[in-house]
Amino acid sequence: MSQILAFNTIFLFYTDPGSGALIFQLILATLLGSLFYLRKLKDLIFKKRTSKEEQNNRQIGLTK
Amino acid sequence: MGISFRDPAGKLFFHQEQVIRLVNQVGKDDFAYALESKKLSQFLESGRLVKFYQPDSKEVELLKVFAQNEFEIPPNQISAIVKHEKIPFLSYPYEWTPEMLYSAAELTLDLAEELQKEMIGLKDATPFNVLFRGAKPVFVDWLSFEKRNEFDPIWRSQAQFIRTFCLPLMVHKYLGFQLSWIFRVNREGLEPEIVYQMLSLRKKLTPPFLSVVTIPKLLGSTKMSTESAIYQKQTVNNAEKAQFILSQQFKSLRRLLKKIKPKSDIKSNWTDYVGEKQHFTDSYFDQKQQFVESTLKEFQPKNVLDIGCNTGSFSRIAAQNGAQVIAIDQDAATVGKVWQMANQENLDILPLVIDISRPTPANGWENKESASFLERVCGKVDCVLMLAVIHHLLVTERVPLSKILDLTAKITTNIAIIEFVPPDDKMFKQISRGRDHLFENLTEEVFYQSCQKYFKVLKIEKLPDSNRRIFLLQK
Repeated sequence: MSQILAFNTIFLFYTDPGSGALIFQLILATLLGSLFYLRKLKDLIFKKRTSKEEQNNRQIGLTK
Repeated sequence: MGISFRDPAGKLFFHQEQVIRLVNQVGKDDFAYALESKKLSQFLESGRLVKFYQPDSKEVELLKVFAQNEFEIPPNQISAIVKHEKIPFLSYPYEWTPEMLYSAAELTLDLAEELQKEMIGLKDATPFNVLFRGAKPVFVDWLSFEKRNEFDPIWRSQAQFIRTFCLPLMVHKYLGFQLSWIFRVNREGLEPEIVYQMLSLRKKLTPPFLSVVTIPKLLGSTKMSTESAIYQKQTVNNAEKAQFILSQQFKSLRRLLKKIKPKSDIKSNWTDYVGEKQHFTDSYFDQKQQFVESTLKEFQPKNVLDIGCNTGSFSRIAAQNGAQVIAIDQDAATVGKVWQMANQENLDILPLVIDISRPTPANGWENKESASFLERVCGKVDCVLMLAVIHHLLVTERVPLSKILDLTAKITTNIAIIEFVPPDDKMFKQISRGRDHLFENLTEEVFYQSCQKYFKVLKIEKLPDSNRRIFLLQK
């Protein structure tokens, strides 16, 4: 088994076998970056809605 | 040679039985930054990070002279010298059980995740930066920490973490690989490209292999993989965003790690060996345990090597009597059980997967980077336990008795407890499989005479319901 592992490694010397993992990590980071803005947007909408509801509640005397 | 010489930020070496770390100009700023960290202090306090001490100025000067003479490092290149706490016994990932690699992975991920909150990056995520104090992992490389850019959303060592922790754990769990097969040959773990070749189509297309092996393998064969731009540090325009991306990536690594946790109920031919009461009676076990316990109480050894420890019942007795125990066996499943027991009961036992008939060889550059098991253990323990082992070495491995006793005498500095299993023993017969005539001359008297060449025979006791004898030997 060790020989199989060592044999396979030889073919990878002139390419970077880790590059695929790095590219995938970069792609995921980009997707997560978009998710960050979506979350921000969601927070903004919900915050606005919550603060509007609070304002309405205050007007009709539901909150102290 | 130093223990480590690859890191451009410094060097680690032994000097007069002490572990010394030199930090040079390259590592100066990062080391100073790490010293300020509150998170690292917490890891230090919990014993999960190796401690270090500042030598006095006289000692510093002597060490600078030593570094110049021995390694040709000019004194002006050295920015700090520290003495590290010594971990009792060095072990390497190719000697660990999968459970130990998993706990080292958890520690490494904890460090990376916690430190990034303080803008410290873990730049080297390899199991070779972890040692075990008893059954507990300790991170030992203070030069693996670097100041992070708050706009950098990438943990650069993630691929290394996957190669050296996740993929070995995955091929162990799903394909039955031993860790020694991986780490003895490939210090840097497994590449996705190599694992891909071992997988069935179903495994390639399903988690956890899909995202960790198949997709990276396919992306690695695209043109994009030859672009040098992918290696340049990427930053985003918002620190909060970078933090969010990083924390999500750590969460997903944590989920992956949970999924690939080694199974705790793995069975082998040896896991139930001691429990197999059909071969041995209770009184046999009781008397053997009493003999071992009373001997350990009498001689109070500090360091015990339990050869062929099986599920660790004698290692436990030794540890409960205050010894630091190294428990070795060739069967990873039984050693895994010893690790679980030592961890749960908080015992000072370091379990390692080592076959004494083929002990770990020296490894690395010039075969000097990682010492062989015998280099590390000979003359370092004051008690050797070899209980119900000798017949396996004699019959299965065909090692002559004189060689076994010679090695035992090289390992221990004081006593050895050896169980003599005669050729008419039912377990002996079971493994000799008709080759009994080869061992006809092996009588108790012959064993006694052989022991006397290397030891004083202090005590011999007959074990009940068998023809076995237990020998207490002293050098």
